[in-house]
Amino acid sequence: MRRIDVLSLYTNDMSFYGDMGNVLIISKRLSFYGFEPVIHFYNPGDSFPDHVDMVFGGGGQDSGQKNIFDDLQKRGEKLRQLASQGVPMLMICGMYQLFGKYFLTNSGKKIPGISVFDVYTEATLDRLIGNLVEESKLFGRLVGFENHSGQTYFSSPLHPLGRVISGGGNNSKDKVDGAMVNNAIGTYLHGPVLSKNPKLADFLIGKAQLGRYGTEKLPSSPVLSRIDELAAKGNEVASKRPR
Amino acid sequence: MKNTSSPLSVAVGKSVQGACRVLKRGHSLPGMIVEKLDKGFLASALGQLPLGTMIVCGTNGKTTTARLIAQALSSLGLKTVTNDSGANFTRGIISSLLPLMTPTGKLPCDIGVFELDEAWAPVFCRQFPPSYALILNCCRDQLDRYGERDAVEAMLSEVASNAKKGLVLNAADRRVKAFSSRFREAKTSFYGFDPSLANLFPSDEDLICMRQGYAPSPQSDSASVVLRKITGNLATFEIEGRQISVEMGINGNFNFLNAAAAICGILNMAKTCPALKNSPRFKNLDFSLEAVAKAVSDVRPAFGRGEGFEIGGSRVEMVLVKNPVGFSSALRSMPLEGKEVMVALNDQSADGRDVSWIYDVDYSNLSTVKAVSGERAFDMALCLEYNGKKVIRADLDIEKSLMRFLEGGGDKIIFSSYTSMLSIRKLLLNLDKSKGGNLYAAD
Repeated sequence: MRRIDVLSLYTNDMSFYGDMGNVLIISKRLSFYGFEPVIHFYNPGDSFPDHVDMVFGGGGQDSGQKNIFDDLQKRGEKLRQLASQGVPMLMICGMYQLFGKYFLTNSGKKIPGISVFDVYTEATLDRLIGNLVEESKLFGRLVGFENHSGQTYFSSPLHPLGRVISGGGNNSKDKVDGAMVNNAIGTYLHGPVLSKNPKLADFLIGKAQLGRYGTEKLPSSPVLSRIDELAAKGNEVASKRPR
Repeated sequence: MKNTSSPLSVAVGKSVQGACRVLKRGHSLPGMIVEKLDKGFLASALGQLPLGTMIVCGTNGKTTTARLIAQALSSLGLKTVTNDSGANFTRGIISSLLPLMTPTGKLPCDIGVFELDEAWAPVFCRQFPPSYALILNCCRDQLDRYGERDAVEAMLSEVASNAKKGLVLNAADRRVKAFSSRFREAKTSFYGFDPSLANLFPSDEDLICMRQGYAPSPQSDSASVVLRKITGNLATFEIEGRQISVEMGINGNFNFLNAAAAICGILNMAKTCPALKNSPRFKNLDFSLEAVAKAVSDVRPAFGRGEGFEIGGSRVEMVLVKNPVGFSSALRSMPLEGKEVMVALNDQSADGRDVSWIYDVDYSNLSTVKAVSGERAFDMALCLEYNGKKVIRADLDIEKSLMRFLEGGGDKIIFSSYTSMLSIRKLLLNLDKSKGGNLYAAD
């Protein structure tokens, strides 16, 4: 069976907002497509897996971000290298911020990120909380839930993940959410995002297959048609819920 | 200490309450008006209680535990005032006091037992530091409403620091347990569970460990009340070194730990309350270990929390679930064999608008789910499918879904978020002829 190695970053500290669901969803979809998913859960101090086809990270508490900070700095170069090779990545909320250039705290302290995305984040006192709906050229309507006080801005022109239809997104001014660089995606969408946006999941799986086995097109899976029908209905409902 | 509250405030509160009853309006409104009018009302009323006030706080189990304590204290012979409507802000507590107060502003009760919302508990403590505080647990819960767990931990810590006479803590919750080292004045008692029962009471950390494929390391600490063994509905507690087995009136093994908390809370109070020993009014009451355990075990469930209904020959149970630890713990401790399962998930603000948390629940004890409903039925069904559970039907309409679910005989169990629980409970009460008359009693 064709193996795909999935790296789940800092699960102990950065899976506070349900984003572990993305790893479950990817693992199940990989199985449905006939791959053998191998999940590597990586926490501070662990050894880094030899081979990585996809990388996931989620949102955590402020204390969680502090716990992983030093270790992330040590792994920054490796992760940047994987991203530049086209390894698909999905970074949500806190990990999206830490994959940027820096985070400016309320007290004016600059906390460096690992610069996979050319973005920076500024702490604010009002949190963007609520359902977030956006339109993406590649993936159609994306729905999820945002809950963050950091507001993120592009340092250079970047592709956002989507244009915000309702909600905040990266910040309360730009009306866009997330960023895409090569096949690395950052976003503020919890939900978990892959649950009701399966095209995004399949994009990541396709890119992982391309990187490891040379083809991007995924085989068909009869099980997934039922699951994706539920996802489409869930997406429709979520797009109409109040903020 | 003042020995009455302002008669004017009481009169206003009672009038508003009367009007609310006629109009079938909110339970908290009278309390809210009195609180605005008379900032010292809560303290002036509760300050009259000879045995003081006990508050119950924490993420999961507040309503059940406060009910266990309040009803047990009543059956042990104390006149107890409590906020059993589930209105757990300071205004809800004031509303629960008003009907018992005399026109002259007296509160003729012995003790108050109140559950408090995490965010409101510090507000309460600033108005009236309680004699006793019982803190159950500190878990991740509805992040869009309560904020991150670190913030909730700080609020609960403030509550613990305000307990004047007694503090009761869950020794198995490492955050709650740590509150003990910070306070000296109050007598601190701990409760916990036997390591062999650890599977029933997972923490946030345990759930994350298991998701990554390694076994959690259960906390085992010394405690004065320990839930040692569960056989069916028979719970064995080790209370101050003595093994006492009691048949529980509530169901759901996760509630048996709440019973341990309640026993521990009552014993802590009995030990540290001089009035209970000295006053002729109380000195003949039996607060022995057996009497306390028996009184707690006799209490029936709080509404929507492990409540049972008889409908068309089927027994239907309802379990409120609202966060990963609560749902996982309920799934592990309710016997599910031979029962049809329904899950209902709404996303009103009282449920938490963010439903992402359902992906952090451990569903391994579930098999087929017959019905999934609520505003986020498709999210729930999708999550169950990704967890390898078969979902027979997902439908947004709760009433339609419930009626179809109730078709055919057999025992049934419904796991539901808060507002969907309220809708389902109303429908079930209408269907359960034996309880038909109580429809508005608990609202």
